Amino acid sequence: MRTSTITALQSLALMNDPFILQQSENFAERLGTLAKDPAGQVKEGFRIAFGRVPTAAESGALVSFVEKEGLPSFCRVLFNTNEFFFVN
Amino acid sequence: MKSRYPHSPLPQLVDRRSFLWRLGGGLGGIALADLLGREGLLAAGMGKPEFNGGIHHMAKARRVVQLFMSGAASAVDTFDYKPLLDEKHGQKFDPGQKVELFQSFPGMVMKNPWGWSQCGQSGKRISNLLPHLGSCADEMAFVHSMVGTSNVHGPATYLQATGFALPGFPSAGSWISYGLGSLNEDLPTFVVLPDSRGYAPNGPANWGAGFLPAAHQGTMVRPGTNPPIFDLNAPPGSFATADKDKATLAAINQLNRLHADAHPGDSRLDARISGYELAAKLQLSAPEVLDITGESAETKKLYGLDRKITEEFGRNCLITRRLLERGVRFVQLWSGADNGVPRRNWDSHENIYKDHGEMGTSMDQPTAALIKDLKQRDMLKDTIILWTTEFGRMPCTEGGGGRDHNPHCFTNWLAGGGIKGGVTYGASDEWGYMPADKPTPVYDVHATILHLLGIDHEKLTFRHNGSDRASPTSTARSSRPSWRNTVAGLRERTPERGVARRSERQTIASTAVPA
Repeated sequence: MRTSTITALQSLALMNDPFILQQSENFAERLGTLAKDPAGQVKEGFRIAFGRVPTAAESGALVSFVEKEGLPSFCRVLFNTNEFFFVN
Repeated sequence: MKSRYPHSPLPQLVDRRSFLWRLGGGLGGIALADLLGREGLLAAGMGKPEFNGGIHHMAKARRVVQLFMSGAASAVDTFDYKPLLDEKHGQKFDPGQKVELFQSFPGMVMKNPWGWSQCGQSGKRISNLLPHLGSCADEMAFVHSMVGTSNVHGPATYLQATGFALPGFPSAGSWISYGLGSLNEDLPTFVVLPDSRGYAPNGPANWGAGFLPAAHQGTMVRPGTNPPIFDLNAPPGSFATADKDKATLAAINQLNRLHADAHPGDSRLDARISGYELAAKLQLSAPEVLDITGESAETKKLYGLDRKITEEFGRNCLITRRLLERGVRFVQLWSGADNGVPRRNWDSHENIYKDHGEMGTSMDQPTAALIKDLKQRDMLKDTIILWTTEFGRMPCTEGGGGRDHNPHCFTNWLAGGGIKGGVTYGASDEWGYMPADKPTPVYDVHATILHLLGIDHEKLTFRHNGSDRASPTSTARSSRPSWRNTVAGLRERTPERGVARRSERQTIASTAVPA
């Protein structure tokens, strides 16, 4: 029996719920202590959230995302990915 | 970006539509062909027949509203007139066989405390509890011989919601979402409006997708709460300002698609990707569809928004009309919550007069308003309204003023899209205790609705655990021939009605499987 909810409502909760936003800020603060440059912060974020380092393509796109949108937004992205959400 | 699969004919990133289209075949392909056809994207030369939105034959209806009376609404106090109960009121209930009840021993026979009135041209007797629905009698087709398989609320609710008393099966709305797809990409295909006081038994599993792809589960909206959709936007003052959403969604989508490429065949991944697409659209569309302030005073009054007892269900019925107008396929609307004290559902074990009185009055005017409003907007003709409940209630009391469960026999009614108005199909016995004519399982009602939507339910299947699971049941077709009688008994016969000719069937079959 499937009990999980996979609809737009789940996406909205993971995007906008105050809990997720607060955890994003906390995670961003932690990444800020682990690396000073966006490339290092993206790498540490992937290592902690996914247990792997980003590919060159992922890193390239996300470093410029961090520069434009900030670290908390990057952490919010990580919490919303399928890779974070499902454990294989 | 370099492709991980350099020999694949597909580009690295394709949208879900072209992915499914290129894979072809199966019901996904059929539904997709329909979707593309509707949007005018299918090349004209491919010869898709016009089934009015149906996928196997001509559809009479495009949309469905399921009104679910949670707790079990009594047939003998609402729509199933039993003069014997008036005659034997206060006497011992003796149907000539052993009576086993859910939680009581049979008390005395009890008549409908509200009495009956003959309504409309058809002269149908409807309880004086429901005068507004009485005024719609000529639009409604009654099935007084519904048969359940369980006298326990949870399984019986599943039975009406999915066709099965066991958990794990797709709800009717999910099958229709899967079979027909969306009419408006900015809104969910299948929307659920629960009673604001709580969930019916089984909770959100009543609108679950079962073994169908997860994206087909119902999307719950709670218009009574502020905001009506939780977390529709980030709270003001947070770092997540609206102008960041676009880039954030793009980044999530990019990572999710790369991840899905590396994990093919997991429908949950696709469901979550489409969930984000719809979430972004909902942020714009939901406030508009749920905002009823622009409705006329006359409309608000029609739905009973000016009275406390009808205000909530009336608002939900009005929002249902707004959802249907904007292309939502299936709305499941709940009257009644869990078994709290005092009663906040139809489970009137203690006091029919008080508890059915409140539930009936809260449901009557809003439901009648929905029928009338859809009719005046010319939408009733292709919208099916199904009124259902998990089972009926006994002709006798359980000692006091309430009635115990009766799973043997209860009433459904349908109205709108292709349904013949003012008719009665099947009958209960003189007590309203057992079916006397045309015992009708929920299977037959669901099959009838799918038939009117242009779907042959025996052909709407999904491969799961090594077998083709058919809707609304996996039972072999020979065991349930009665659904054809139900269709014949309930549908409206009009000249343009007609099942597709064989050549048309072959055409759509070949259209559905692209080379």
